[in-house]
Amino acid sequence: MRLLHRLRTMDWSRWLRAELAHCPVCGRAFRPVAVPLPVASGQPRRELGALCPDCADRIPWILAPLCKVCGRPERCEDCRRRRETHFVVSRSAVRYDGTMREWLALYKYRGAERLEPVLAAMLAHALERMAAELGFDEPGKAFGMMTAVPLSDERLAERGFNQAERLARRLAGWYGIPFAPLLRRIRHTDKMSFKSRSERLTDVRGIFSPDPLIAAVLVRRSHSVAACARQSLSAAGSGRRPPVSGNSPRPLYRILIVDDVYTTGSTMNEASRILKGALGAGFELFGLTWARS
Amino acid sequence: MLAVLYMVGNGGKWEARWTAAWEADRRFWLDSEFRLGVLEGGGERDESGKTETGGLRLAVLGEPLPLGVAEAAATWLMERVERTGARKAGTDEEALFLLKEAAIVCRELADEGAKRRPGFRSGVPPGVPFAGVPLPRGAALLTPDGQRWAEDEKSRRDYGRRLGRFARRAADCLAGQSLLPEEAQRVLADELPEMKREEWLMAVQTACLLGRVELRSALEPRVPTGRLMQAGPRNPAGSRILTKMRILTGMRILTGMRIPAKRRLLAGSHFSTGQRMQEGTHIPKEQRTRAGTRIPEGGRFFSLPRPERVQSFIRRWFGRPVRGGSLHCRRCGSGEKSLRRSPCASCGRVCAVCEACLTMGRCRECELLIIGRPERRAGRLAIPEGSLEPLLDRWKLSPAQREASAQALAFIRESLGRPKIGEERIIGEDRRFEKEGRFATDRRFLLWAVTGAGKTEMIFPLLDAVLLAGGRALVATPRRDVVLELAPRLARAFGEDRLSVRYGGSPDRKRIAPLTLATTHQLLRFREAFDLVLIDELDAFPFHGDPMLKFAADKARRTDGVTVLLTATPPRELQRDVRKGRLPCARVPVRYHGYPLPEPRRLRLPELSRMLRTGRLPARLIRALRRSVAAGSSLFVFVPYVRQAEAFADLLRRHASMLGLEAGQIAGTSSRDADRGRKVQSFRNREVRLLVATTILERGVTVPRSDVFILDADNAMFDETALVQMAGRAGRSAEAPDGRVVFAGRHMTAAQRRAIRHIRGMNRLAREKGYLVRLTGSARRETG
Repeated sequence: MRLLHRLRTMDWSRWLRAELAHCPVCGRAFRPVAVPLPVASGQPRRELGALCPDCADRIPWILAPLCKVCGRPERCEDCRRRRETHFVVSRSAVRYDGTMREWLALYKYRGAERLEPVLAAMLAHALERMAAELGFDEPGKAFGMMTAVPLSDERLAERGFNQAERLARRLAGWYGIPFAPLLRRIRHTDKMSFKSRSERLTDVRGIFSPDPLIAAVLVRRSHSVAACARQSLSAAGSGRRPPVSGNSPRPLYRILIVDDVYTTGSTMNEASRILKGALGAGFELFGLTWARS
Repeated sequence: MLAVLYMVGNGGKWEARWTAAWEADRRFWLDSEFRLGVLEGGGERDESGKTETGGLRLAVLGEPLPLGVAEAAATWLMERVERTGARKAGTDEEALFLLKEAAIVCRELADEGAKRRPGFRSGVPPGVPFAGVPLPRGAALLTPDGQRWAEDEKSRRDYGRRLGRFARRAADCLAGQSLLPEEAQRVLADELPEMKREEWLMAVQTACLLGRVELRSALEPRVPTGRLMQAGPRNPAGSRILTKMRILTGMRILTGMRIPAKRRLLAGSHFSTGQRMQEGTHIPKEQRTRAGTRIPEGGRFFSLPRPERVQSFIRRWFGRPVRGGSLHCRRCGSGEKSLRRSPCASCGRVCAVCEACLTMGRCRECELLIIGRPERRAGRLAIPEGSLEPLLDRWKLSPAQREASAQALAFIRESLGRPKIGEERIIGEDRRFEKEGRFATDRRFLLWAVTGAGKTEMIFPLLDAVLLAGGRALVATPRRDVVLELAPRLARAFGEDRLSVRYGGSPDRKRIAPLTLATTHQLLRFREAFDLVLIDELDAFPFHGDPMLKFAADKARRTDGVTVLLTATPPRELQRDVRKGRLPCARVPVRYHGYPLPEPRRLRLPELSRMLRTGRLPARLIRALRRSVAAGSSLFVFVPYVRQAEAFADLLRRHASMLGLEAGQIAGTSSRDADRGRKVQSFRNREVRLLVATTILERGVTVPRSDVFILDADNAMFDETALVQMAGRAGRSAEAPDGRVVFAGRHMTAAQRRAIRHIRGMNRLAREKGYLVRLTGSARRETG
């Protein structure tokens, strides 16, 4: 009886209709068409393919960064003015224009989590390019670990998720880079988006602390890397540094810090400063953000 | 959000509750001074029975639960208590046992709903702060005598009074609304400026304790059905399941005992699929990274499964399945299909979010929905019989309008006076629309007025009557521009202070005014608030075809209220209801100017795509268009698809001279056209004479002296409703009441036939009733 009922109530016309996709951003139905995408890896490409051509066209990709430090497509005063930069370089996937602002607000404040894979796939563009700049064919080989800029407990409970962490976790899954929360936010600051430049710079000081548990893991892992390196050194007998030796063992000392928006770089710099202090020598920190304003 | 589950007992009678602000509940039940203060401040009479605290006791679950789980547990507990309570009084031990059991079962059911392995720990991850006084460990019994309070009696009472006052006023401004915390906070901040920001939740929870506000989970949780096992601490292993659990794990379950270390390891080897970075943070599969799977090497960072995990496994394999309803959004009524699940940092579970009503704020499984109870009213709303005639006279209606309004008024009067049948509360029927997919069929009235009949004028007497009787009325319309256009007219008619206007981005979000004008989406925020709900253009986008908005409209009405539907083109199921006498209806078959509707004519033409491909216009079309242009008409040309609008406008522009127009007088527009407003404006003032459009312009646009051409009228995009509405663009003004309507296409379709029958039927009805004015030579336009 059940089966009969199923058969009767089934929507048979679905079998005959052309397959239409719905854009996760605008919700419009469209026939999928191929759009050029600046991402090589399969999974993120598929996620970006879910966008309708109109929305895909509106993404302001940063294809040619001008500032060598922060990856801004224009001349960058912030990087020149900064006294100490604790990260090596930072790269962003897109310019933070009106459309991107809208998308991020939709995801972050409205809680439209259906956008999450798309935003993560956009971030993949910056990751792949940064890996290429470092001379690796695959991001998984370039970076040993990934972490995200944390939210304060209060904000996390209010929003229900940390957007940077969510994006980072997805990327981590796609490229096989381990993710670990290495930082904690110990001070609750007001929303950064309401602040002026100078306020941001002074305000970020001391907002993070290293996560004690995971920092211990990292140190342990670095020992194991060192052990492997010793092994490979003795085996090969050459003086080459292990991280560039390509495939296994996974070099750990390049750490990626993921955030959603890079504005003056003060948050990124502070996060790098804390991590650098906690981890000591032998680690390099890289920034990866979804948008550059 | 996390909530505390507890039971209040008095003389062996127990009541299960949950609270979002534990401090308020703790004080309310355990501190008689505070409670007296609350009752005084809240305006409740001091009943001696209520303040008796002698036998009062609280059984509290020490672990805060995700809000939805807490609600499900409380509901389930109440059902069980009611079932067994008649037979015997519950002991304290039983209460504690039940609490723990309910928490486990409900959490498991919720996790099962998440379609995940029901093993991960849904406890509180380190990231979820739980504010307030620390809870006891496990489950504990609290009695008023055992409490020590830091403050003296007077200040406790004053504090209670203060909260009670806030609670009362909060309940007053929330009455009839159903709001998410953020929205409620905004309302309260406006209405109660003296309340501190962090006090709002305490105030709302106190109002809930006073019974003035309902606090719910934003998504209706799944509540277990059926008896799971024989409960009772004296015989914890009374049931089959429990016995098996005991045999398998060698432990006493549900009594708070931990599994011995050896067992835990064993259990761990059984269930070694859970990977966690930090204790208690569940990482769903797609987000698991290598770090997640690799770090636990030493076992140090890997938390072993908790007893619940083992239990749930056994329950799944050996127990009777726990069944429950399905998860539903309480605001928009959407079910499982519109829910998306994700790990939630506010409750520590994988928790569902309603995506259907996301644009109106996020409804999470663990989010609070604050529902203001509708005002208590003594007796029913009465509209005196003698008052109807003067009301109708006041608004200067045409005879046809007047007759329909009178019918509607009589219906409203009669319905409001009729008691509702049984207890048809909406709260119990949240799932309704998924099953039926349409309105509840009671107390509805259809005002079926042809296009251009002057519907807006007809609603004034209805609103007036309800407002005069002291009721509340709502006018809901699908589009924002209609709201903005109607607002000044309503304000002039009924007074600005009695009107509240709500649309996306409107500043007015306070208590409910006697008269509310809103876009249909705003209806989600109301609950049993209005005596009269008027829904304009119920067959238009987005209202038509969106069960969420129907649900919302239904919910916004008081259960003893009336719904009046306004439309020119009722959907077929409503027409059927009218025919079968299930839906009372008043028809206005004639336009306000008294001339008949222009009847469509057919024109055989090849399909539009062919014209666009060949770039040629059939001579027959050119001739027809030229004739209309020569007669001085403005032309609406409707095409089915967005992409055809601009393309066809281009084609016409190339043939402009043959049509007797200039290229600049032809424009095309669609829903994707950012410039639409300007084009429509220039069409109105006749700078543009021919406008190619999609169905986006089928409603609301009135252009004097207009003719309508519908190309590809046989396209499936054009149903009866669309065709009648488009045809209704012609001949709307009194100066030129005659217009031409052409259905062009290759075939005759059922939709076209129905549309023509519809229009002819209305004209015939108008003629029979004698509403038509005679077409005189001067009014009749020369159409050649």
